[in-house]
Amino acid sequence: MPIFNESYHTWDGYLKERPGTWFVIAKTGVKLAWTKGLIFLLIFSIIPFFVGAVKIFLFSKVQDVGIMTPQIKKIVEDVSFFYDFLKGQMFYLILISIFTGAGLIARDRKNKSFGFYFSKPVSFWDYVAGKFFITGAYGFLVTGAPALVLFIIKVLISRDASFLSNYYYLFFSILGASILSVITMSSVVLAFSAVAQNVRTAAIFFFTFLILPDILRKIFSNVPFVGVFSLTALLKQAQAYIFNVQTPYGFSDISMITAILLILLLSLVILKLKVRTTEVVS
Amino acid sequence: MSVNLENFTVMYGDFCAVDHLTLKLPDGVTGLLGPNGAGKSSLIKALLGLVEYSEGSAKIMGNDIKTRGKYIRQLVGYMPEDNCLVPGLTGVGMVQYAGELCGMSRVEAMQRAHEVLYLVGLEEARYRKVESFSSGMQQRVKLAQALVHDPRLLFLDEPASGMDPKGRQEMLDLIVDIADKGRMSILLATHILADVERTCERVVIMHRGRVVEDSRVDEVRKSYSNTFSVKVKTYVSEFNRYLEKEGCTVKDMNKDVYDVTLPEGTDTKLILKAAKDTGAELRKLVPSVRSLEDVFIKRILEDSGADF
Repeated sequence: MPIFNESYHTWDGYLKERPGTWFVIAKTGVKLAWTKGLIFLLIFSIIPFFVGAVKIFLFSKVQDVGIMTPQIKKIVEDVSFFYDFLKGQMFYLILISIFTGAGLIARDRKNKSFGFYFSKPVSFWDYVAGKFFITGAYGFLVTGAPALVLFIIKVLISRDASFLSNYYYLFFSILGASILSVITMSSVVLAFSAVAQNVRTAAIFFFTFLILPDILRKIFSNVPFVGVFSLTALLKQAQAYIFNVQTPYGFSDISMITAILLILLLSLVILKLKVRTTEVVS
Repeated sequence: MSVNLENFTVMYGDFCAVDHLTLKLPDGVTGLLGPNGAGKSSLIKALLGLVEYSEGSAKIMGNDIKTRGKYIRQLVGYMPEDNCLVPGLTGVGMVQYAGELCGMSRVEAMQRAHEVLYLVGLEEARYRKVESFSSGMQQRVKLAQALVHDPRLLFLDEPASGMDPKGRQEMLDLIVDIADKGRMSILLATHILADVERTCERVVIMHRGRVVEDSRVDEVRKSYSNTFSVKVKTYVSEFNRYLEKEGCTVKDMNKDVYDVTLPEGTDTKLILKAAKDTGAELRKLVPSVRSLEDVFIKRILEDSGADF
Protein backbone atom coordinates (compact mmCIF):
# COMPACT_ATOMS: atom_id res chain seq x y z
CA MET A 1 0.00 0.00 0.00
CA PRO A 2 1.47 3.38 -0.92
CA ILE A 3 2.31 5.67 1.98
CA PHE A 4 0.53 8.48 0.21
CA ASN A 5 -2.38 8.12 -2.15
CA GLU A 6 -2.26 10.98 -4.63
CA SER A 7 -5.96 10.70 -5.33
CA TYR A 8 -8.34 13.37 -4.20
CA HIS A 9 -9.21 13.36 -0.49
CA THR A 10 -12.27 14.97 0.92
CA TRP A 11 -11.93 17.31 3.88
CA ASP A 12 -14.20 16.90 6.85
CA GLY A 13 -13.42 20.12 8.63
CA TYR A 14 -15.82 22.90 9.43
CA LEU A 15 -15.97 26.16 7.48
CA LYS A 16 -16.53 29.08 9.82
CA GLU A 17 -18.89 31.78 8.62
CA ARG A 18 -16.45 34.38 9.85
CA PRO A 19 -17.28 38.05 9.95
CA GLY A 20 -13.58 38.87 10.04
CA THR A 21 -12.52 37.90 6.53
CA TRP A 22 -10.95 41.35 6.41
CA PHE A 23 -8.49 40.22 9.06
CA VAL A 24 -7.22 37.39 6.85
CA ILE A 25 -6.58 39.94 4.07
CA ALA A 26 -4.94 42.31 6.56
CA LYS A 27 -2.75 39.63 8.11
CA THR A 28 -1.54 38.33 4.75
CA GLY A 29 -0.98 41.87 3.46
CA VAL A 30 1.05 42.86 6.52
CA LYS A 31 3.26 39.80 5.98
CA LEU A 32 3.63 40.51 2.26
CA ALA A 33 4.58 44.14 2.87
CA TRP A 34 7.36 43.10 5.27
CA THR A 35 10.27 43.53 2.90
CA LYS A 36 13.86 44.73 3.22
CA GLY A 37 12.93 48.21 2.00
CA LEU A 38 10.22 48.55 4.59
CA ILE A 39 12.53 47.38 7.37
CA PHE A 40 15.07 50.08 6.41
CA LEU A 41 12.33 52.67 6.37
CA LEU A 42 11.10 51.57 9.78
CA ILE A 43 14.63 51.74 11.16
CA PHE A 44 15.01 55.32 9.87
CA SER A 45 11.63 56.28 11.21
CA ILE A 46 12.59 55.11 14.66
CA ILE A 47 15.56 57.52 14.93
CA PRO A 48 13.38 60.47 16.14
CA PHE A 49 11.92 58.11 18.73
CA PHE A 50 15.37 57.38 20.14
CA VAL A 51 16.21 61.08 20.11
CA GLY A 52 12.97 61.76 22.01
CA ALA A 53 13.69 58.98 24.50
CA VAL A 54 17.19 60.38 25.15
CA LYS A 55 15.71 63.85 25.65
CA ILE A 56 13.26 62.49 28.22
CA PHE A 57 16.04 60.60 30.00
CA LEU A 58 18.35 63.62 30.09
CA PHE A 59 15.50 65.79 31.27
CA SER A 60 14.91 63.49 34.22
CA LYS A 61 18.62 63.63 35.10
CA VAL A 62 18.63 67.43 34.90
CA GLN A 63 15.59 67.39 37.12
CA ASP A 64 17.45 65.17 39.59
CA VAL A 65 20.37 67.55 39.92
CA GLY A 66 18.00 70.47 40.24
CA ILE A 67 19.27 72.74 37.49
CA MET A 68 15.94 72.99 35.71
CA THR A 69 15.39 76.18 33.77
CA PRO A 70 12.21 77.13 31.88
CA GLN A 71 14.10 76.64 28.60
CA ILE A 72 15.10 73.07 29.43
CA LYS A 73 11.67 72.31 30.80
CA LYS A 74 10.11 73.44 27.54
CA ILE A 75 11.98 70.74 25.62
CA VAL A 76 10.12 67.77 27.08
CA GLU A 77 7.72 68.76 29.80
CA ASP A 78 5.43 70.62 27.46
CA VAL A 79 2.51 69.16 25.49
CA SER A 80 4.24 70.47 22.39
CA PHE A 81 6.98 67.82 22.79
CA PHE A 82 4.51 65.11 21.73
CA TYR A 83 2.81 67.34 19.20
CA ASP A 84 6.18 68.18 17.59
CA PHE A 85 7.12 64.52 17.61
CA LEU A 86 3.94 63.53 15.74
CA LYS A 87 4.32 66.48 13.35
CA GLY A 88 7.84 65.31 12.55
CA GLN A 89 6.69 61.73 12.00
CA MET A 90 4.32 62.93 9.25
CA PHE A 91 7.22 62.63 6.79
CA TYR A 92 7.67 58.94 7.65
CA LEU A 93 3.92 58.40 7.57
CA ILE A 94 3.89 59.65 3.98
CA LEU A 95 6.79 57.38 3.01
CA ILE A 96 5.26 54.36 4.75
CA SER A 97 1.88 55.06 3.12
CA ILE A 98 3.50 55.13 -0.31
CA PHE A 99 5.61 52.08 0.40
CA THR A 100 2.87 49.88 1.80
CA GLY A 101 -0.28 51.34 0.26
CA ALA A 102 0.43 52.44 -3.31
CA GLY A 103 0.46 48.92 -4.69
CA LEU A 104 -2.22 47.34 -2.53
CA ILE A 105 -5.14 47.73 -4.92
CA ALA A 106 -3.18 48.69 -8.05
CA ARG A 107 -1.46 45.29 -8.06
CA ASP A 108 -4.77 43.48 -7.61
CA ARG A 109 -6.24 45.42 -10.52
CA LYS A 110 -3.24 44.69 -12.69
CA ASN A 111 -3.31 40.96 -11.88
CA LYS A 112 -7.11 40.76 -12.06
CA SER A 113 -7.12 39.48 -8.49
CA PHE A 114 -10.58 40.87 -7.74
CA GLY A 115 -11.95 37.64 -9.20
CA PHE A 116 -9.93 35.69 -6.64
CA TYR A 117 -11.21 37.70 -3.70
CA PHE A 118 -14.81 38.23 -4.67
CA SER A 119 -15.45 34.64 -5.75
CA LYS A 120 -14.87 33.86 -2.07
CA PRO A 121 -17.02 35.03 0.83
CA VAL A 122 -15.35 38.44 0.79
CA SER A 123 -17.39 41.65 0.60
CA PHE A 124 -16.31 45.10 -0.58
CA TRP A 125 -16.01 46.21 3.04
CA ASP A 126 -13.93 43.15 3.98
CA TYR A 127 -11.57 43.84 1.12
CA VAL A 128 -11.20 47.58 1.77
CA ALA A 129 -10.94 47.15 5.55
CA GLY A 130 -8.25 44.48 5.07
CA LYS A 131 -6.21 46.67 2.73
CA PHE A 132 -6.76 49.70 4.92
CA PHE A 133 -5.48 47.85 7.97
CA ILE A 134 -2.20 47.02 6.20
CA THR A 135 -1.28 50.66 5.56
CA GLY A 136 -2.88 51.77 8.79
CA ALA A 137 -0.94 49.29 10.92
CA TYR A 138 2.42 50.34 9.50
CA GLY A 139 1.37 53.99 9.63
CA PHE A 140 0.53 53.68 13.30
CA LEU A 141 3.82 51.93 13.88
CA VAL A 142 5.71 55.12 12.89
CA THR A 143 3.35 57.65 14.49
CA GLY A 144 1.09 56.60 17.36
CA ALA A 145 3.07 53.63 18.63
CA PRO A 146 6.41 55.43 19.24
CA ALA A 147 4.63 58.50 20.60
CA LEU A 148 2.71 56.35 23.07
CA VAL A 149 5.88 54.54 24.09
CA LEU A 150 7.54 57.93 24.69
CA PHE A 151 4.59 58.93 26.83
CA ILE A 152 4.89 55.71 28.85
CA ILE A 153 8.66 56.22 29.22
CA LYS A 154 7.99 59.72 30.42
CA VAL A 155 5.46 58.45 32.97
CA LEU A 156 7.75 55.69 34.20
CA ILE A 157 10.81 57.90 34.46
CA SER A 158 9.02 60.66 36.37
CA ARG A 159 9.84 60.84 40.05
CA ASP A 160 6.20 61.22 41.04
CA ALA A 161 2.73 60.96 39.56
CA SER A 162 2.45 64.66 38.87
CA PHE A 163 3.16 64.29 35.16
CA LEU A 164 0.51 61.60 34.78
CA SER A 165 -2.09 63.49 36.78
CA ASN A 166 -1.39 66.74 34.88
CA TYR A 167 -1.01 65.31 31.41
CA TYR A 168 -3.00 62.01 31.39
CA TYR A 169 -5.11 63.39 28.52
CA LEU A 170 -1.98 63.38 26.35
CA PHE A 171 -2.40 59.63 25.96
CA PHE A 172 -5.74 60.19 24.24
CA SER A 173 -4.46 63.20 22.29
CA ILE A 174 -1.60 61.10 20.90
CA LEU A 175 -3.97 58.28 20.08
CA GLY A 176 -6.55 60.58 18.47
CA ALA A 177 -4.06 62.65 16.47
CA SER A 178 -2.15 59.65 15.14
CA ILE A 179 -5.29 57.66 14.31
CA LEU A 180 -6.74 60.63 12.43
CA SER A 181 -3.50 61.09 10.44
CA VAL A 182 -3.23 57.37 9.70
CA ILE A 183 -6.88 57.00 8.65
CA THR A 184 -6.75 60.02 6.35
CA MET A 185 -3.40 59.15 4.80
CA SER A 186 -4.35 55.48 4.30
CA SER A 187 -7.68 56.38 2.72
CA VAL A 188 -6.04 58.74 0.25
CA VAL A 189 -3.25 56.36 -0.71
CA LEU A 190 -5.73 53.51 -1.20
CA ALA A 191 -7.91 55.73 -3.37
CA PHE A 192 -4.92 56.53 -5.58
CA SER A 193 -3.95 52.87 -5.61
CA ALA A 194 -7.45 52.03 -6.81
CA VAL A 195 -7.27 54.62 -9.59
CA ALA A 196 -3.89 53.50 -10.93
CA GLN A 197 -3.05 50.18 -12.51
CA ASN A 198 0.52 50.05 -11.28
CA VAL A 199 2.41 50.91 -8.14
CA ARG A 200 4.57 53.63 -9.64
CA THR A 201 1.65 55.61 -11.05
CA ALA A 202 -0.23 55.37 -7.77
CA ALA A 203 2.84 56.58 -5.87
CA ILE A 204 3.36 59.51 -8.27
CA PHE A 205 -0.32 60.50 -8.03
CA PHE A 206 -0.22 60.38 -4.24
CA PHE A 207 3.02 62.28 -3.97
CA THR A 208 1.80 64.97 -6.38
CA PHE A 209 -1.41 65.26 -4.38
CA LEU A 210 0.67 65.95 -1.27
CA ILE A 211 3.34 68.18 -2.76
CA LEU A 212 1.46 70.38 -5.24
CA PRO A 213 -0.97 71.98 -2.74
CA ASP A 214 1.95 72.49 -0.35
CA ILE A 215 3.83 74.41 -3.03
CA LEU A 216 0.69 76.47 -3.75
CA ARG A 217 0.31 77.13 -0.03
CA LYS A 218 3.82 78.51 0.09
CA ILE A 219 3.35 80.64 -3.04
CA PHE A 220 0.06 82.08 -1.75
CA SER A 221 1.20 82.36 1.85
CA ASN A 222 -0.79 85.58 2.25
CA VAL A 223 -4.03 83.68 1.51
CA PRO A 224 -4.43 81.32 4.52
CA PHE A 225 -7.41 79.48 3.02
CA VAL A 226 -5.16 77.89 0.35
CA GLY A 227 -3.81 75.68 3.16
CA VAL A 228 -7.12 73.83 3.18
CA PHE A 229 -6.10 72.15 -0.08
CA SER A 230 -2.93 70.72 1.46
CA LEU A 231 -3.42 67.37 3.19
CA THR A 232 -0.29 67.71 5.31
CA ALA A 233 -1.32 71.22 6.42
CA LEU A 234 -4.78 69.93 7.27
CA LEU A 235 -3.40 67.08 9.34
CA LYS A 236 -0.89 69.29 11.17
CA GLN A 237 -3.68 71.73 11.91
CA ALA A 238 -5.88 68.87 13.16
CA GLN A 239 -3.09 67.57 15.38
CA ALA A 240 -2.60 71.05 16.85
CA TYR A 241 -6.33 71.22 17.46
CA ILE A 242 -6.34 67.86 19.24
CA PHE A 243 -3.29 68.76 21.38
CA ASN A 244 -4.84 72.14 22.08
CA VAL A 245 -1.71 74.04 21.02
CA GLN A 246 -1.34 77.10 18.78
CA THR A 247 -2.60 76.11 15.29
CA PRO A 248 0.11 76.58 12.65
CA TYR A 249 -2.08 77.78 9.75
CA GLY A 250 -4.56 80.56 9.35
CA PHE A 251 -7.64 78.68 8.19
CA SER A 252 -10.50 77.95 10.55
CA ASP A 253 -11.15 74.71 12.41
CA ILE A 254 -14.48 74.28 10.66
CA SER A 255 -12.74 74.49 7.26
CA MET A 256 -10.18 71.95 8.48
CA ILE A 257 -12.81 69.46 9.70
CA THR A 258 -14.93 69.90 6.57
CA ALA A 259 -11.92 69.45 4.27
CA ILE A 260 -10.76 66.27 6.06
CA LEU A 261 -14.27 64.80 5.99
CA LEU A 262 -14.55 65.65 2.28
CA ILE A 263 -11.21 63.96 1.56
CA LEU A 264 -12.32 60.83 3.43
CA LEU A 265 -15.67 60.81 1.64
CA LEU A 266 -14.06 61.32 -1.76
CA SER A 267 -11.59 58.51 -1.10
CA LEU A 268 -14.44 56.19 -0.18
CA VAL A 269 -16.38 57.14 -3.31
CA ILE A 270 -13.30 56.42 -5.46
CA LEU A 271 -12.79 53.08 -3.73
CA LYS A 272 -16.45 52.19 -4.21
CA LEU A 273 -16.22 53.06 -7.91
CA LYS A 274 -12.94 51.33 -8.59
CA VAL A 275 -13.06 48.26 -6.36
CA ARG A 276 -15.91 46.50 -8.12
CA THR A 277 -17.16 43.26 -6.67
CA THR A 278 -18.88 42.79 -10.00
CA GLU A 279 -17.17 43.16 -13.35
CA VAL A 280 -18.10 46.02 -15.61
CA VAL A 281 -18.09 44.85 -19.21
CA SER A 282 -18.43 47.50 -21.84
CA MET B 1 -30.05 19.69 -7.90
CA SER B 2 -26.84 21.72 -7.87
CA VAL B 3 -27.89 24.62 -10.08
CA ASN B 4 -31.39 25.76 -10.94
CA LEU B 5 -31.93 28.67 -13.32
CA GLU B 6 -35.22 30.35 -14.15
CA ASN B 7 -35.33 32.81 -17.02
CA PHE B 8 -31.77 33.83 -16.08
CA THR B 9 -30.49 36.75 -18.15
CA VAL B 10 -27.19 38.61 -18.21
CA MET B 11 -26.93 41.80 -20.24
CA TYR B 12 -23.83 43.82 -21.05
CA GLY B 13 -25.45 47.07 -22.11
CA ASP B 14 -27.54 46.11 -25.13
CA PHE B 15 -25.72 42.82 -25.64
CA CYS B 16 -27.41 39.78 -24.19
CA ALA B 17 -24.68 37.41 -22.92
CA VAL B 18 -27.05 34.92 -21.28
CA ASP B 19 -30.47 34.90 -22.85
CA HIS B 20 -33.41 33.96 -20.59
CA LEU B 21 -31.90 30.67 -19.56
CA THR B 22 -34.05 28.10 -17.80
CA LEU B 23 -31.93 25.16 -16.82
CA LYS B 24 -31.66 22.51 -14.14
CA LEU B 25 -28.24 21.00 -13.59
CA PRO B 26 -28.27 17.83 -11.54
CA ASP B 27 -25.40 16.69 -9.30
CA GLY B 28 -22.44 15.19 -11.15
CA VAL B 29 -20.07 16.49 -13.78
CA THR B 30 -21.63 18.76 -16.38
CA GLY B 31 -19.82 20.23 -19.34
CA LEU B 32 -20.80 23.71 -20.40
CA LEU B 33 -19.81 23.71 -24.01
CA GLY B 34 -19.87 26.50 -26.52
CA PRO B 35 -17.77 28.58 -28.86
CA ASN B 36 -16.06 31.74 -27.59
CA GLY B 37 -18.65 34.34 -26.67
CA ALA B 38 -21.41 31.79 -26.09
CA GLY B 39 -21.97 33.06 -22.55
CA LYS B 40 -20.35 30.26 -20.54
CA SER B 41 -18.03 32.42 -18.44
CA SER B 42 -20.71 35.09 -18.04
CA LEU B 43 -23.09 32.48 -16.68
CA ILE B 44 -20.57 31.20 -14.13
CA LYS B 45 -19.55 34.71 -13.09
CA ALA B 46 -23.17 35.74 -12.71
CA LEU B 47 -23.85 32.69 -10.54
CA LEU B 48 -20.97 33.73 -8.29
CA GLY B 49 -22.05 37.35 -8.18
CA LEU B 50 -19.02 38.53 -10.15
CA VAL B 51 -21.29 39.82 -12.91
CA GLU B 52 -24.71 41.32 -12.26
CA TYR B 53 -27.65 39.49 -13.79
CA SER B 54 -30.52 41.51 -15.09
CA GLU B 55 -33.48 39.16 -15.01
CA GLY B 56 -34.69 35.86 -13.63
CA SER B 57 -33.50 33.88 -10.66
CA ALA B 58 -30.88 31.27 -9.84
CA LYS B 59 -30.44 28.86 -7.01
CA ILE B 60 -27.28 26.97 -6.13
CA MET B 61 -27.85 23.97 -3.91
CA GLY B 62 -31.20 25.46 -2.96
CA ASN B 63 -29.76 28.87 -2.05
CA ASP B 64 -30.88 31.95 -3.94
CA ILE B 65 -27.86 33.76 -5.33
CA LYS B 66 -29.51 37.10 -4.65
CA THR B 67 -29.92 36.64 -0.91
CA ARG B 68 -27.34 33.99 -0.02
CA GLY B 69 -24.43 35.07 -2.20
CA LYS B 70 -21.79 35.06 0.52
CA TYR B 71 -22.83 31.63 1.79
CA ILE B 72 -22.85 30.22 -1.75
CA ARG B 73 -19.35 31.52 -2.38
CA GLN B 74 -18.21 29.64 0.70
CA LEU B 75 -19.62 26.37 -0.65
CA VAL B 76 -18.38 26.84 -4.19
CA GLY B 77 -14.90 26.54 -5.63
CA TYR B 78 -14.07 28.65 -8.67
CA MET B 79 -11.18 28.23 -11.03
CA PRO B 80 -11.32 31.33 -13.23
CA GLU B 81 -10.07 31.62 -16.77
CA ASP B 82 -8.12 34.80 -15.95
CA ASN B 83 -4.79 34.71 -14.17
CA CYS B 84 -6.16 36.06 -10.92
CA LEU B 85 -3.25 35.26 -8.64
CA VAL B 86 -1.93 37.32 -5.76
CA PRO B 87 1.69 38.21 -6.56
CA GLY B 88 4.20 37.92 -3.76
CA LEU B 89 2.62 34.80 -2.33
CA THR B 90 4.16 31.36 -2.70
CA GLY B 91 2.09 28.53 -4.16
CA VAL B 92 1.34 27.14 -0.72
CA GLY B 93 0.72 30.63 0.66
CA MET B 94 -1.76 31.38 -2.10
CA VAL B 95 -3.75 28.18 -1.53
CA GLN B 96 -3.69 28.63 2.24
CA TYR B 97 -4.89 32.22 1.78
CA ALA B 98 -7.81 30.98 -0.34
CA GLY B 99 -8.68 28.41 2.34
CA GLU B 100 -8.62 30.98 5.12
CA LEU B 101 -10.78 33.36 3.10
CA CYS B 102 -13.32 30.55 2.73
CA GLY B 103 -13.48 30.09 6.49
CA MET B 104 -10.85 27.46 7.25
CA SER B 105 -8.62 27.88 10.26
CA ARG B 106 -4.99 28.85 9.56
CA VAL B 107 -3.58 25.44 10.52
CA GLU B 108 -6.17 23.44 8.61
CA ALA B 109 -5.81 25.67 5.56
CA MET B 110 -2.05 25.12 5.59
CA GLN B 111 -2.34 21.31 5.91
CA ARG B 112 -4.95 21.14 3.20
CA ALA B 113 -2.92 23.48 0.95
CA HIS B 114 -0.01 21.02 0.99
CA GLU B 115 -2.39 18.16 0.26
CA VAL B 116 -4.07 19.76 -2.77
CA LEU B 117 -0.79 21.07 -4.15
CA TYR B 118 0.46 17.50 -3.99
CA LEU B 119 -2.65 16.42 -5.83
CA VAL B 120 -2.24 18.95 -8.64
CA GLY B 121 1.43 18.06 -9.04
CA LEU B 122 2.99 21.20 -7.58
CA GLU B 123 4.65 19.60 -4.58
CA GLU B 124 8.12 20.59 -5.83
CA ALA B 125 7.18 24.16 -6.68
CA ARG B 126 4.94 24.98 -3.75
CA TYR B 127 7.44 27.36 -2.11
CA ARG B 128 8.03 29.33 -5.29
CA LYS B 129 6.33 32.68 -5.81
CA VAL B 130 3.19 32.33 -7.97
CA GLU B 131 4.33 35.02 -10.41
CA SER B 132 7.30 32.84 -11.34
CA PHE B 133 5.02 29.94 -12.35
CA SER B 134 4.57 28.93 -15.97
CA SER B 135 1.04 29.17 -17.38
CA GLY B 136 0.52 25.45 -16.84
CA MET B 137 1.59 25.74 -13.21
CA GLN B 138 -0.64 28.75 -12.75
CA GLN B 139 -3.57 26.68 -14.00
CA ARG B 140 -2.72 24.03 -11.43
CA VAL B 141 -2.44 26.48 -8.55
CA LYS B 142 -5.74 28.01 -9.63
CA LEU B 143 -7.32 24.56 -9.40
CA ALA B 144 -5.69 23.97 -6.01
CA GLN B 145 -7.06 27.23 -4.56
CA ALA B 146 -10.53 26.26 -5.80
CA LEU B 147 -10.29 22.82 -4.16
CA VAL B 148 -8.70 23.72 -0.85
CA HIS B 149 -11.94 23.96 1.15
CA ASP B 150 -13.42 20.84 -0.48
CA PRO B 151 -16.33 22.69 -2.10
CA ARG B 152 -19.73 21.15 -2.78
CA LEU B 153 -19.76 22.61 -6.28
CA LEU B 154 -16.75 23.37 -8.43
CA PHE B 155 -16.82 25.82 -11.33
CA LEU B 156 -13.98 25.26 -13.78
CA ASP B 157 -13.62 27.88 -16.48
CA GLU B 158 -11.41 26.61 -19.30
CA PRO B 159 -9.25 24.57 -16.91
CA ALA B 160 -6.89 23.20 -19.53
CA SER B 161 -6.27 26.40 -21.47
CA GLY B 162 -2.63 27.35 -21.92
CA MET B 163 -1.39 23.89 -20.98
CA ASP B 164 0.82 21.63 -23.05
CA PRO B 165 -0.70 18.30 -24.23
CA LYS B 166 0.78 16.35 -21.30
CA GLY B 167 -0.35 18.93 -18.77
CA ARG B 168 -3.80 19.03 -20.36
CA GLN B 169 -4.06 15.28 -20.12
CA GLU B 170 -3.07 15.40 -16.45
CA MET B 171 -5.54 18.16 -15.74
CA LEU B 172 -8.38 16.15 -17.28
CA ASP B 173 -7.31 13.03 -15.37
CA LEU B 174 -7.35 15.11 -12.23
CA ILE B 175 -10.88 16.34 -12.92
CA VAL B 176 -12.05 12.77 -13.47
CA ASP B 177 -10.35 11.75 -10.21
CA ILE B 178 -11.92 14.62 -8.27
CA ALA B 179 -15.32 13.70 -9.67
CA ASP B 180 -14.81 10.05 -8.70
CA LYS B 181 -13.29 10.45 -5.26
CA GLY B 182 -14.79 13.75 -4.17
CA ARG B 183 -18.38 14.48 -3.26
CA MET B 184 -18.68 17.62 -5.30
CA SER B 185 -20.57 18.46 -8.45
CA ILE B 186 -18.53 20.02 -11.22
CA LEU B 187 -19.51 22.51 -13.90
CA LEU B 188 -16.80 22.57 -16.54
CA ALA B 189 -16.96 25.44 -19.03
CA THR B 190 -14.91 24.86 -22.14
CA HIS B 191 -14.90 25.20 -25.89
CA ILE B 192 -12.83 22.02 -26.23
CA LEU B 193 -15.20 19.18 -27.01
CA ALA B 194 -12.77 16.41 -26.23
CA ASP B 195 -12.50 17.68 -22.64
CA VAL B 196 -16.24 17.31 -22.15
CA GLU B 197 -16.36 13.89 -23.81
CA ARG B 198 -13.56 12.77 -21.54
CA THR B 199 -14.75 14.11 -18.22
CA CYS B 200 -18.48 14.83 -18.21
CA GLU B 201 -21.63 12.81 -17.74
CA ARG B 202 -23.82 15.59 -18.98
CA VAL B 203 -23.41 18.30 -21.58
CA VAL B 204 -25.06 21.67 -21.98
CA ILE B 205 -24.25 23.27 -25.31
CA MET B 206 -24.58 27.03 -25.34
CA HIS B 207 -24.65 29.34 -28.29
CA ARG B 208 -25.33 33.08 -28.28
CA GLY B 209 -26.39 32.91 -24.65
CA ARG B 210 -28.95 30.18 -25.22
CA VAL B 211 -28.95 26.46 -24.50
CA VAL B 212 -29.10 24.48 -27.73
CA GLU B 213 -28.56 21.03 -26.22
CA ASP B 214 -28.95 19.72 -22.69
CA SER B 215 -28.69 15.99 -22.12
CA ARG B 216 -26.43 13.18 -21.04
CA VAL B 217 -23.30 12.78 -23.18
CA ASP B 218 -24.11 9.15 -24.03
CA GLU B 219 -27.69 10.06 -24.92
CA VAL B 220 -26.49 12.78 -27.26
CA ARG B 221 -24.24 10.34 -29.03
CA LYS B 222 -26.95 7.70 -29.10
CA SER B 223 -29.59 10.06 -30.49
CA TYR B 224 -27.40 10.65 -33.50
CA SER B 225 -26.12 7.10 -33.85
CA ASN B 226 -28.97 6.07 -36.13
CA THR B 227 -28.25 8.77 -38.67
CA PHE B 228 -26.13 7.96 -41.70
CA SER B 229 -24.66 10.03 -44.44
CA VAL B 230 -25.51 8.44 -47.78
CA LYS B 231 -24.32 9.37 -51.26
CA VAL B 232 -26.26 7.92 -54.19
CA LYS B 233 -26.21 8.22 -57.97
CA THR B 234 -29.02 7.24 -60.30
CA TYR B 235 -32.58 6.49 -59.20
CA VAL B 236 -32.11 8.92 -56.39
CA SER B 237 -35.78 9.90 -56.01
CA GLU B 238 -36.88 6.24 -56.07
CA PHE B 239 -34.26 5.44 -53.43
CA ASN B 240 -35.43 8.28 -51.18
CA ARG B 241 -39.11 7.42 -51.63
CA TYR B 242 -38.35 3.79 -50.74
CA LEU B 243 -36.60 4.79 -47.52
CA GLU B 244 -39.35 7.24 -46.52
CA LYS B 245 -41.91 4.51 -47.12
CA GLU B 246 -39.94 2.33 -44.70
CA GLY B 247 -40.14 5.04 -42.01
CA CYS B 248 -36.78 6.74 -42.52
CA THR B 249 -36.22 10.48 -42.42
CA VAL B 250 -34.24 11.66 -45.41
CA LYS B 251 -32.62 15.08 -45.41
CA ASP B 252 -31.01 16.56 -48.49
CA MET B 253 -27.60 17.79 -47.38
CA ASN B 254 -25.61 18.55 -50.49
CA LYS B 255 -25.14 17.26 -54.03
CA ASP B 256 -26.40 13.67 -53.92
CA VAL B 257 -25.61 13.44 -50.20
CA TYR B 258 -28.46 12.68 -47.81
CA ASP B 259 -28.71 12.28 -44.06
CA VAL B 260 -30.84 9.21 -43.45
CA THR B 261 -32.20 8.63 -39.95
CA LEU B 262 -33.33 5.04 -39.56
CA PRO B 263 -36.36 4.08 -37.49
CA GLU B 264 -35.92 2.15 -34.21
CA GLY B 265 -35.03 -1.51 -34.64
CA THR B 266 -33.51 -1.18 -38.09
CA ASP B 267 -29.94 -0.93 -39.24
CA THR B 268 -27.91 -0.14 -42.33
CA LYS B 269 -29.19 -3.28 -44.05
CA LEU B 270 -32.34 -1.28 -44.80
CA ILE B 271 -30.34 1.28 -46.78
CA LEU B 272 -28.48 -1.44 -48.64
CA LYS B 273 -31.78 -3.15 -49.44
CA ALA B 274 -33.26 0.15 -50.67
CA ALA B 275 -30.30 0.63 -53.00
CA LYS B 276 -30.56 -2.93 -54.28
CA ASP B 277 -34.34 -2.78 -54.81
CA THR B 278 -34.37 0.61 -56.55
CA GLY B 279 -31.16 0.08 -58.49
CA ALA B 280 -29.58 3.19 -57.00
CA GLU B 281 -25.81 3.36 -57.05
CA LEU B 282 -24.64 3.65 -53.45
CA ARG B 283 -21.35 5.57 -53.32
CA LYS B 284 -21.05 6.30 -49.57
CA LEU B 285 -22.57 5.03 -46.35
CA VAL B 286 -21.04 6.37 -43.12
CA PRO B 287 -22.41 7.35 -39.70
CA SER B 288 -23.50 10.97 -39.96
CA VAL B 289 -22.45 11.88 -36.44
CA ARG B 290 -19.40 10.21 -35.01
CA SER B 291 -18.61 12.20 -31.88
CA LEU B 292 -19.80 14.96 -29.63
CA GLU B 293 -17.87 17.32 -31.85
CA ASP B 294 -20.18 16.52 -34.72
CA VAL B 295 -23.19 17.05 -32.51
CA PHE B 296 -21.74 20.31 -31.32
CA ILE B 297 -21.07 21.61 -34.81
CA LYS B 298 -24.44 20.41 -36.01
CA ARG B 299 -26.33 22.07 -33.15
CA ILE B 300 -24.39 25.32 -33.47
CA LEU B 301 -24.99 25.41 -37.20
CA GLU B 302 -28.66 24.64 -36.71
CA ASP B 303 -28.90 27.43 -34.16
CA SER B 304 -27.16 29.82 -36.54
CA GLY B 305 -29.67 28.87 -39.22
CA ALA B 306 -26.85 27.96 -41.57
CA ASP B 307 -27.43 25.76 -44.55
CA PHE B 308 -25.48 22.55 -44.08
